[in-house]
Amino acid sequence: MNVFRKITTDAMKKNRMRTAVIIAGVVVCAAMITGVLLFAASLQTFLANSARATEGDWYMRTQPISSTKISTMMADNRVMELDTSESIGFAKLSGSKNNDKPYLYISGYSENMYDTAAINIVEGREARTSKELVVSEALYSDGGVRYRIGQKVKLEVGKRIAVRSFKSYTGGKVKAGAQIWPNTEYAGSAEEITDTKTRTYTVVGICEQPNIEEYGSPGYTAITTPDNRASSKYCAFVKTEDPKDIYDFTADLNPASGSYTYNNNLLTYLGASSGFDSMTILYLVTLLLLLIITIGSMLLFVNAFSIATADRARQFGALMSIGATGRQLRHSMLEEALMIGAAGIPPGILCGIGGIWVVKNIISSTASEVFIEGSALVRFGLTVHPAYLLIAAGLTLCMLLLSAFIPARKVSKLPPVDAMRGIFKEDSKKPRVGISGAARKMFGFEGALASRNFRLDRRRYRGAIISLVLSLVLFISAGSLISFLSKEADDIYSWTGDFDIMYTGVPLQSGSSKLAAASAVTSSVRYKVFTVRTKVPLKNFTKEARAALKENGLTKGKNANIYVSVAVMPDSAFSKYAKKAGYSESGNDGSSSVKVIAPKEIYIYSGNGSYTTGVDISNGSKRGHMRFTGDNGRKFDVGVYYTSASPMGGRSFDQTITVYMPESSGSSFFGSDYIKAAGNNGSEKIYMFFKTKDPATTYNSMKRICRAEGLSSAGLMNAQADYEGFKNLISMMKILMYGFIMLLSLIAAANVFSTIATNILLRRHEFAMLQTVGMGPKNFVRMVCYSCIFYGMRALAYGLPIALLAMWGMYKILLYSTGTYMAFDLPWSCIIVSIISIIAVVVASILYSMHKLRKTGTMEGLRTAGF
Amino acid sequence: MKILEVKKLTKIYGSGEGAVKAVDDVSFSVEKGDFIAVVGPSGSGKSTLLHMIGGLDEPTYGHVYVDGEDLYKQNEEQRAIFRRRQVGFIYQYFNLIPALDVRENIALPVYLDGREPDEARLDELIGLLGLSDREKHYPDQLSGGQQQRVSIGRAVINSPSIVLADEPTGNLDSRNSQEIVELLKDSNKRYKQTLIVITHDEDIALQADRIITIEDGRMSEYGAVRT
Repeated sequence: MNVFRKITTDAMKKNRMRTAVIIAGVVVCAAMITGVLLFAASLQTFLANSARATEGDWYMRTQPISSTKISTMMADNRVMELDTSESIGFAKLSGSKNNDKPYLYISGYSENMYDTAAINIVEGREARTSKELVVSEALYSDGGVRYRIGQKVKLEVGKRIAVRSFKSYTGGKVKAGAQIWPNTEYAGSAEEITDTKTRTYTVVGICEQPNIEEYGSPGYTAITTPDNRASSKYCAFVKTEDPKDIYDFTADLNPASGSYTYNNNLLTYLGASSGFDSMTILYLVTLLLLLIITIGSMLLFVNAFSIATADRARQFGALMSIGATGRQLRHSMLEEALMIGAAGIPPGILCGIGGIWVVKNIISSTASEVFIEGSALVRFGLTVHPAYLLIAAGLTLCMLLLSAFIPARKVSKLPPVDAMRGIFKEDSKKPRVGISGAARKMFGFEGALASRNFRLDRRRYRGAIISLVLSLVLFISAGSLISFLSKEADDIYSWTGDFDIMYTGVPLQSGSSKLAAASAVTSSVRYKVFTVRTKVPLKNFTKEARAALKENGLTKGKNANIYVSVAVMPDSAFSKYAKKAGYSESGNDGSSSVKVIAPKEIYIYSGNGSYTTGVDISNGSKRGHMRFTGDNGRKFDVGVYYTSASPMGGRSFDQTITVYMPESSGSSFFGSDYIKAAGNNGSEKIYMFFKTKDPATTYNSMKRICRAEGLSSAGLMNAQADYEGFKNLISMMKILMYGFIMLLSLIAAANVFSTIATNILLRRHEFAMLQTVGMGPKNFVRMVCYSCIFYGMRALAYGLPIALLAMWGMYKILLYSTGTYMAFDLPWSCIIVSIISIIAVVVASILYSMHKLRKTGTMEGLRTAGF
Repeated sequence: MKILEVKKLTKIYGSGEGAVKAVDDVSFSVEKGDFIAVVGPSGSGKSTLLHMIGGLDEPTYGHVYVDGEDLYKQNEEQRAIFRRRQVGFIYQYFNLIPALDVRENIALPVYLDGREPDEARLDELIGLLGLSDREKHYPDQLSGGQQQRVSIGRAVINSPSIVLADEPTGNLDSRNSQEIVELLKDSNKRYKQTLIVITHDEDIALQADRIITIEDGRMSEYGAVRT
């Protein structure tokens, strides 16, 4: 019969509360480890699925190769899946507005190739015969060539051949007479389409511009079914069993440079790519969280088992005196650890799974909006792999066993006599600690006693205090991070809050005016924006701003040479804005007849520190004048009225300074084509801002209008949804972070509770003795209060400075990485909550122990003396 | 035949000016089957001496030979086995395990050896100790005298060659004290066990074969009680 097991279970039953607290700690620890691992795995799966949805389900794809080469690839046992798209040929597009994209590139897809290549059909259906065609919507929005569903098109489809040799960006030198790859950019006169055959197609579907269509490739995507001739060439889309193998597999093919592409995002999310990337960050964060959980939990477990061993030292001593070996004692402690593990780990893992399931449901609704662009919709699912559960169980069990082993080993090495007397080696090294006279005068006898006990037990309390400090630091850091992010969200809103939807467009397309007619739009404004430069004296800027300007290379001599967005708005909109800005025609600045309104506060991005500085360019005056220089060197003089107000959407323009002018004065001064006058050739010349009753409906309605008018919907931005999405992300982070910290704090609280409770109980002989010489209940209460103060203050004395330091460090990192300027703010509510919590836990522990002591009674306490 | 030999045994606690010599250069030998009483004033080092003999506390200097073996040349594992099989310890405050009943407490050294007790021997011993009607009781359900009997049972279950008792009657009334001493003497005679008892009780000391007197850690006398 196992006497040790009986002794152990008896001890655990006698200290029910303490045993329950440790088991609770194990449950929380196992739950947290499980939660962190499952969340990381689910997040990784989600990101991988997102990559599959946007870029396709392949690891590497090739430029067109022969079917023999395809067969060789398939024979490689590293290959898990190999899909092909047949490279049917190129056809010249008549009427393409994009000089760099004069072709249609026709591929033959099998049914599952649409999923593999992430082809998203927005209108119509897939091609089912070789006479049907699906075309990319970019054909119209970018190329200006409109194909409608049901339309019949006749195309001369042939090969792209180099007429003479040229150097390409993608594939290096292309020899004369060679067939050019689909991903090679348009070579103009150096290439031609030869060997053409006439094909007639019926357009059956329109798809979103696929991601596999490279930016520089000269052909818009068109898809039909494969011919599968002997001479056909195919692009291979390869997946290997182990994603990491794709690199070696590709290298073994000895491919020509530029003839293959990796699906980098998917490979990154599958953890296949080497080097520091987002997955590395995920792994590091996961490891960091696991480390924090391990530290917090170990502090509880080691402390708990140390106390259990100390409590049982006399019994161990007695057992050793009758012949129990050190190994037997250690084994009994390990068995206790196993029992506690058996009680706590399975429910802990179940709680972890349950907790993450709840989190996943909360995230599911917001995550797809935050992470996905376009119309691909990927749900955030829960990945529960048995391996992670085993890791969680194993890690928790190892912690328990180690925590039990360390103190057991210490006691088993003691001479049995010392063990029986409860004397530990380090005690003999301790200097004599008596009741200090000064403490007695200041705090009374009870306070001096509490202080002395605190100093004596300091070692044992170290673990509890460290875990309190850890929780405190994390809580306050999380609080300040959340408040920082919330402020940033509000900051974004202050830039975008005056409109719901924004559209930016490429040259003046008539279709954009139709957007104002979309469903639920309540008001809109349209700006034509072009870019010029102006000089502002450097002395107008602060020292910080001057440094930032210098970094960006925006200084010339005594002046700052800054870019200006000139936003031309309809006269009616301008009058509204002028009213808001308090501008009137009278009181102009003599020399120039054109007047503009300029918001006087500008923001400069510093390249190094990446923070922005609010600068007042008005130099205190309400009016001034600026000289603009266009790209072609032409100069314009304008009178400027400075204001703090901005019109709708006005903060969203690109350049450092924005000025507004009405259409009438703009066209009369610059001439009607003032964009050309300024020498501007760039894109995104139209900005439209809309306020709506129902942003979601309006947004969808606008997307339909874009498609109908051939506008690129890439220019549409649902600012309201983005802001809501960001706020949801913050809420999600709040839940995750505070949840994590709360659980960690539970462990810390359990640690404090068990430490204080047991240390007081170990002193029951002393307290019983004090009772016999007349220490009454009131005195005990006073002693308890002083104890609370000492323990709580110590935790706060270490914890608060460390927390503040951590906050400061985080603040600096956030400033640097996000580029937003924010004042350093203390999260007072968090600090107060943590102080109260620490005091509450300490008080609860001490009260519980005193209650237990009172129950024990004096004589029994005295009887626990020596042997 | 010498069962125990103590040579120049010394135990010093602390160091420097605060050093205390609990046992100072004590040497003696004990024949098998002897009943030795150790007497002396409080704090004279009697318990310390007993602990060193029983392998519980390592001496600063000196040797303890049990059956010819130097006790402190062995490692802790070996000493634990020694304590299990060759020594029985009886304390003033019993030191029973609260979680085990009478039967289990007595059989504890056997269990520590990884064996099951001989039920017949256990029954006989429990009968001899007068605990037959209490064998399923727990320590907190027993009187002081009954607890000390359990202690004795535990000390002798493995038929050790030496039984060491530190003030075995210190916590008992006179009637119980005498009964305990009779049990110890009976065990000493019956099983030829060497018995070394620390006691303040002159009556008990006079029942021994020899008395060792310890004063300030030094052995001042080692003499036969009866010639």
